[in-house]
Amino acid sequence: MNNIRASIQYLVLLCITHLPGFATAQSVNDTTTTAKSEASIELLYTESNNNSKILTVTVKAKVGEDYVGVEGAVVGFFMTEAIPENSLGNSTTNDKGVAVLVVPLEKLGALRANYTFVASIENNTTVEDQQEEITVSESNLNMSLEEVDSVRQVVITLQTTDAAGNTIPAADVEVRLFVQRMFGLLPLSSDPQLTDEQGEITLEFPAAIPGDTAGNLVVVAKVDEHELFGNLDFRKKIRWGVPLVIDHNKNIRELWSSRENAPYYLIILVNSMLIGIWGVIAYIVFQVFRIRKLGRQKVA
Amino acid sequence: MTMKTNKPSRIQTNAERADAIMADLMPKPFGLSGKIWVVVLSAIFLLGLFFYVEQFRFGLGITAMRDYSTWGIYISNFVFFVAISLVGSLISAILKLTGVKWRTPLTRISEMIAVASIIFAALVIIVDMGRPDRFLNVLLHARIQSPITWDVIVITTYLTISLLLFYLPLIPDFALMRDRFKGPAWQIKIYTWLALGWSNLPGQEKILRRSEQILAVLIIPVAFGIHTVTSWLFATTLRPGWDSNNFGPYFVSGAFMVGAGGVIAAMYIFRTHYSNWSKYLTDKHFDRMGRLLVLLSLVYLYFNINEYFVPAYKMKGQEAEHLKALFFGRYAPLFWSVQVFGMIVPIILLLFPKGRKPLPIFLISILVIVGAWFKRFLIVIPTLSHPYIPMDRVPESWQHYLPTFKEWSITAGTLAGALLIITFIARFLPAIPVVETIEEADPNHVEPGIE
Repeated sequence: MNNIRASIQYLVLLCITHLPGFATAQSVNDTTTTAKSEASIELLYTESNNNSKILTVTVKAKVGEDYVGVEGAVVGFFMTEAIPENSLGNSTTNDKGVAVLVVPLEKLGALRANYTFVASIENNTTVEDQQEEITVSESNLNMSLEEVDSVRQVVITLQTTDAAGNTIPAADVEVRLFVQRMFGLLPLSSDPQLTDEQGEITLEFPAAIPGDTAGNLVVVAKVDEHELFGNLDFRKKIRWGVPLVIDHNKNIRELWSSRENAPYYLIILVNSMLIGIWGVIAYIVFQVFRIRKLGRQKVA
Repeated sequence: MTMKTNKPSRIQTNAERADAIMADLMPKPFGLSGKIWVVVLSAIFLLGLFFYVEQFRFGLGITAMRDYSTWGIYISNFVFFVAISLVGSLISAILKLTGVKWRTPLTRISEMIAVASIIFAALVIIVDMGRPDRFLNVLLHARIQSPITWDVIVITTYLTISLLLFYLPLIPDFALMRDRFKGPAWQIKIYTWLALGWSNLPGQEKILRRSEQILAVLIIPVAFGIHTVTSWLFATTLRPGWDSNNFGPYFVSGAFMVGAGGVIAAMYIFRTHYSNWSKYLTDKHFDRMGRLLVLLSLVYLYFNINEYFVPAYKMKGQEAEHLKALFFGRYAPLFWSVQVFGMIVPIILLLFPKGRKPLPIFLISILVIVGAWFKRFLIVIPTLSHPYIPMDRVPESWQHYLPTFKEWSITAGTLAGALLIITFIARFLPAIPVVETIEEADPNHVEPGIE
């Protein structure tokens, strides 16, 4: 019998000690693993409304046939090359393997035509050392929204800086126009538009797009993953939407209404049943205490 | 303050017989087979728990459920658990109120099954949630028009009543174990606490009998409610195969049938596992349960005919696609196996007295239980594979549902968990009411009425 008890204890111990190990063996965060995984690192540049420059790094490690995000890796960001004096800051990857850094503008120095950013992982316990760099040109994406002769016009302008530091138009760049919706961006045209020689695109803004209760819309111009400029977007709020009118007549008390508009008969019915049945249950629990009370009286 | 004198205990007047019954029915430590049983169930449960932890971390993506089959074997399993839990109300309430005397040794077994099943029914719903951390939102932001809200309410209510109906008849047994059990002090301490100072006082007996009677009446509408509301989770949805007025009685009758099967299987296992239990779980009990199972199966057959024959006669639109898949398509082997081996064959075999002997009826009840589980699979899955809006431009994996190994493991884990609850209840509590059995063994015993 003792052997059986010992076997069971061994099995339980085996489960406790080995199951968690098996669980984390699949994970790329296992710090006890000595062999480092092959890593892939992707660096993206995003600029919003010409006032924030954001570097986004995605670090992935090879697990089996797949690449999965590496969590908790410290990524160093640098200007031009990965040396301490060029450091822009560090950021740690999240559970998807993504680390984000908002570039401190004071560290960029004087205006120039191009910027080279470097992301680097060194001495990580999980993945091998990696570096990735991206070079982007200085850019300026703007959008004006005007109503001319009852026609709503969107004028998008994209400019860049040449080697001499002069501002020049950026021609032949694909720009897309969107309207912000609750769960994403609604494209206003199926194909992207190209900037002309003046770096401009002029579009007519469609009517009858629903806005908020005041008719506000957020119009978004975007350049996606351009080889020179990276990702750019420019957002502007304007009262060009159809104001949302909430029809309070729809808030009638029906079975298919929201929870605030449940029919009274249902509220009364369900609550009556609940009170009735749970009242009886409470009565029975009270009776259980009466049984105990009688028992105590006898002892006394 | 003067106390009423105790009436002389029947246990004392029939001491010898009582001692023999107590020796047979008092909880005993696990033997070798019991230990192996617990280890196997624990291993299955732990494997399920292990994969559930993975599901908790990475989401329902580890299952085969996708945009169309949003309900998989977890929900089939949930419906199965709710169904089998109805046996508590069948044996403890319906048979009690109809004055069936042979039910005594079956009452606790049925309540054990009911409590274990309904606990796991509630847990399986949480298992099926992609974000179980948001479970409280179901209560905090409940929409009273939703059958899901009704289901949460009725499951909680049924669980509470089942626990009370399980506990109240145990009070005299707890007192008996407090006084007579030879075992660890901690165990006796718990029995003492749960016995509530029970001393066979007339006042205590009166309260207990009355409370049991009230609960027996109360649990019947709640039991009908729990499975009717569960059926409405499906029937209030516009889906081929679910859009049926027949679903309430169809589910309830099926639940009573599988519940009866569950009790028979448990009876046989207890009878063969514990020596001398054939004196309490006699051939007569198996025979009576067999007759009851035939009746319940015939009622269920009637609702099955209604459920499939009427729409098959009309064969309208998408409903026809669904029925063809069941009758002749990819689900046909499972569908016909379930109907034939899970219902028709048991009905035929149980009509013969030899079919109602312990071993044959045990094997038949296993057929009924397995058939009932897969019946719930057939109710849930094929319907989701036949939506009204055609499946266009969707990945191949979305068009079929084949549960993953991890899903099967988690499901098996819940079944093992429910069996573990039953096993541990039988380990520490008498699975057959001892005091009631002693009283009924007294030749002068008179069935107490309600005053």
